[in-house]
Amino acid sequence: MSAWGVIFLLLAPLWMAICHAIVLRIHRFKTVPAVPLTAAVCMGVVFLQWLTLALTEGARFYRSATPSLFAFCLAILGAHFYFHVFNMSESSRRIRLLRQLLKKKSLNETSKAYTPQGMYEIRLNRLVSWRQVTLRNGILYPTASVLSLAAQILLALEKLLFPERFSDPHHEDPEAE
Amino acid sequence: MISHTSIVSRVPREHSPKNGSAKKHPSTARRAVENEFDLGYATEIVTTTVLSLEEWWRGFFYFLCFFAVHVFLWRKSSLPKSFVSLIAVLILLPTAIYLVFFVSGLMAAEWLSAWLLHCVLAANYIAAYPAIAAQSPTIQILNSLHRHPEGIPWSKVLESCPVEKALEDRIDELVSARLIAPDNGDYRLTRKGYCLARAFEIFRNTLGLSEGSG
Repeated sequence: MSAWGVIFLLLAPLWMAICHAIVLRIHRFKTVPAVPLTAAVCMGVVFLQWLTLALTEGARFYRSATPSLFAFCLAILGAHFYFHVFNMSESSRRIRLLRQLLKKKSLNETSKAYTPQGMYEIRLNRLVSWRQVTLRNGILYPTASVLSLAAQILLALEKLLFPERFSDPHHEDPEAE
Repeated sequence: MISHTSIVSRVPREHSPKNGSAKKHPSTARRAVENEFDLGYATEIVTTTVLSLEEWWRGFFYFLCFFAVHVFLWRKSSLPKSFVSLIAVLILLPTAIYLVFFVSGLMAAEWLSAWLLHCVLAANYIAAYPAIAAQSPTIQILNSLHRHPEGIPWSKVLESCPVEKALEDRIDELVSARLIAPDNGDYRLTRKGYCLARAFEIFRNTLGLSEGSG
């Protein structure tokens, strides 16, 4: 693969941001939830990148599996990185607090308006609307979903990196009395 | 550094078709056919296949090695568990090692693709790290539900949330990361915090998005 091909792949988050900005300005997509839409844009850009490289790099690119695999790996990782940055801008409390301060808003005022219940309610509604959990008669049930799998992986990593947190039984099960 | 010739489509010299081991294939293949199954031939095929994976694959294994170092340091609390330490352990240190090996001639230019993959993997891990370190409420909800397949009432999940303080912990983290500083009973952005907040503001404005709902 040429150096330009590698640079093109490394700039994947930039191509995603451009495509995402275009898609978000299309009126019909305004009602689609932001995160699934972003995931779809990322997947689309990964495919477009592969297609661009197949056209520009010539037959040696698509006739051998290795350059294609390398391109897919880098493009998918670029998409994953962009998705995390977007998700951070969308739902991270720390980024939200920083942006509040940038707008010259008081953090003390923000703290009063930002209740834990409200925060959890937003997330529960989001999980239900994305069908990552099932809500039946006011009871929430786990569903085999992508986010559940991601949550399991993140929990395993948390146990690996922060074992001290799990010495407290309330951390494992917040419902534990 | 990156040559215009192939970065990924090179076969390691020791496993190239000119190599002796590759030349053995026809005879060993005949032997395998004659004997129906030849363990030596099967092993050779598997070994050659595994080893002939081109250099960029090595990036996965190197990332895993440095990830193990990161886990060891975090568990031993030998380093402050911050982003700077994470970047140092997963990107700066490996890059320095790659550079030393490259300059001393112990590593070929082809290994650049492995370093590239290593750095991209590390950047992805660093982007996902806040979800591990900051105990994301979404992840907490999903794990809590996973432990209760019989289901949990919505109200009980909401009741359980005051276990974590919604913003106080985050404000403390921002202060310790020197992104904000106390100022007359409230807080102000530091230079570092201003740059980060401005970057996200520009990012969201470029996308044409309003306030997030997190």
